[in-house]
Amino acid sequence: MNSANNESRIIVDLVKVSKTYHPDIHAVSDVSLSVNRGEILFLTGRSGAGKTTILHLLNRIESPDKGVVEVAGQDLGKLSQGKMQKLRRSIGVAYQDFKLLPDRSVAQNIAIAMEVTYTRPSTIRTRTKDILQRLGLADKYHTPTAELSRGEQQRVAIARAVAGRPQLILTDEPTGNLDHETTTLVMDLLSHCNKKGATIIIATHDESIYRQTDHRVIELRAGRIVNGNPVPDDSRRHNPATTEETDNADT
Amino acid sequence: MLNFISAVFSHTLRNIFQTWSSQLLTVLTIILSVLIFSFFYLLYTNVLHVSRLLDNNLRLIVYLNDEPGKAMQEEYRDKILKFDTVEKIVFVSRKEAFKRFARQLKENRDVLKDMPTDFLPPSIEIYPVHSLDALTRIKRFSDYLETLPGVLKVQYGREWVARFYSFVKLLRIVVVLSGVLLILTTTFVVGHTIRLTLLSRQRELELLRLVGASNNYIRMPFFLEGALQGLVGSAGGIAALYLLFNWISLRFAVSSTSFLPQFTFFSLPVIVAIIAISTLLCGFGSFSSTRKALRL
Ligand SMILES: Nc1ncnc2c1ncn2[C@@H]1O[C@H](COP(=O)(O)OP(=O)(O)OP(=O)(O)O)[C@@H](O)[C@H]1O
Ligand SMILES: [Mg+2]
Repeated sequence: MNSANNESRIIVDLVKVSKTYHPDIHAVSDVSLSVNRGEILFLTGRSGAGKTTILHLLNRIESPDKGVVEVAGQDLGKLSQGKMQKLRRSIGVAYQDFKLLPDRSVAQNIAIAMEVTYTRPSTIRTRTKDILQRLGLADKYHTPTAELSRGEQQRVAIARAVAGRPQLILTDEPTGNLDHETTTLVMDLLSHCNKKGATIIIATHDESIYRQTDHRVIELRAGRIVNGNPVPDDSRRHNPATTEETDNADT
Repeated sequence: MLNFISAVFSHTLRNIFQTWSSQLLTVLTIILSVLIFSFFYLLYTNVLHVSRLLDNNLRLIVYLNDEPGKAMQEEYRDKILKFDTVEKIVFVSRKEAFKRFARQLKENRDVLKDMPTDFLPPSIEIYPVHSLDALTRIKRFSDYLETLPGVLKVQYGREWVARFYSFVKLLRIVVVLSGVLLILTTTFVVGHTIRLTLLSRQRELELLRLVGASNNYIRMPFFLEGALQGLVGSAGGIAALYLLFNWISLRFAVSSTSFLPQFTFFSLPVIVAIIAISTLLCGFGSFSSTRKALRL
């Protein structure tokens, strides 16, 4: 496969990225990682390993101290504010703290991600209903998010992340507060979005959702990649030695 | 585009409903300051109006030593016009002055029987242009005329004009001051409430930035909110002034009849201008305060 072709397929590209928090917490150290369009990638590792930090770097919530972060072919370090805003409109995020507005209804919270792209209100309504249906929250449409359980809030955050049909979806601990059945609902929704073309990066330490997967799994420890193939394994079948974590089990 | 507008409007409305109590306070402040400003401005325009009515009777009379000949008249005319354009210049000869005097005396004109017909001095009557500040110029004009050769005396309603002049001047200062007050309150008060609401909406703004809302998307609702406050506030202020005006003119109509010149309210273009300017002021006041608060 020639490299030019390869480049256009890559949607996320971290090159020797380091992020240090004050005073000297090395949240991410010298990480290089590429993700192809249409991939599902699991970022795993123990608490404090740097998973959330990487997701923040991809959305320029944080900026790296060293290295280059490229998303959709654009170097985030050089992107103007307006261009970054435009890029963010094509990235769906569900962070660990959900970032829901407690006094707004579930539907209003989900609508926000679509309103900024000027989606028609009728479209917003049908999409919201569809997604809530898939997540088992159909009856919570009008409920203020403050009245929801944490597991329900988590699903609303995920619903918002995928509602705008983004090209890249970043989810942080999407199943952290969920039981087995609801976890399946969430993972089904994410793979549904993936089949429609979205690239999905899932930061998690819930082994149950990646144990059996044939998608790439990256393990971080103390801000470094210690396991998994940092480049898209187009050649995974030819070179299975580099992917210790992934066993090609059926799904 | 339509979706943008509807999104912005729904945001604006939601914001307003969420913080209606501070909105009300802002609108009341705007009503009050628009009322104060437009009250003085209305007074000012009416005083100017009155002064214009009086202008019609206002003329400078320049008494001369000697009857000017044709050439001399032209010379005076040139010198007068060199100082200022005027509506009309009338030369009154001794005879003409006598005739007028006799006419004024009516039945008592007999007393003039034995008087020579040239005992009154000749004069020039100058009617100034009907401009807004005719009154303010008339004193300087009179001073100038007194320096012309052959001038005996220049006469106009000196006392009265001077007092009126200073009154108009004072009123103009008050109008300017209340205008400044209006601008300060609108920008400060509106900006302040917007900053308060910005603080209470930190969460929402953070989320909006997270999902990639553009600066305009975030700021337009604030502009509209401010503009709406300005619109409602200034319309309310003008309405309050109108009620006050009606009440006052009703009072005057009872106590005195048609002697005082009729007071008039603002014309429609002036009303529209006051409301439009306040609306824009408030809109930009809130727009610029979001700029600081959002660190754009
Ligand atoms: N804003 C911050 N300021 C200072 N230190 C931070 C900040 N955010 C993260 N860190 C530190 O950076 C390191 C990596 O944090 P990060 O949130 O990326 O871990 P994580 O893998 O997401 O952990 P978890 O599984 O608990 O969510 C941690 O040691 C954390 O304390
Ligand atoms: Mg985390």
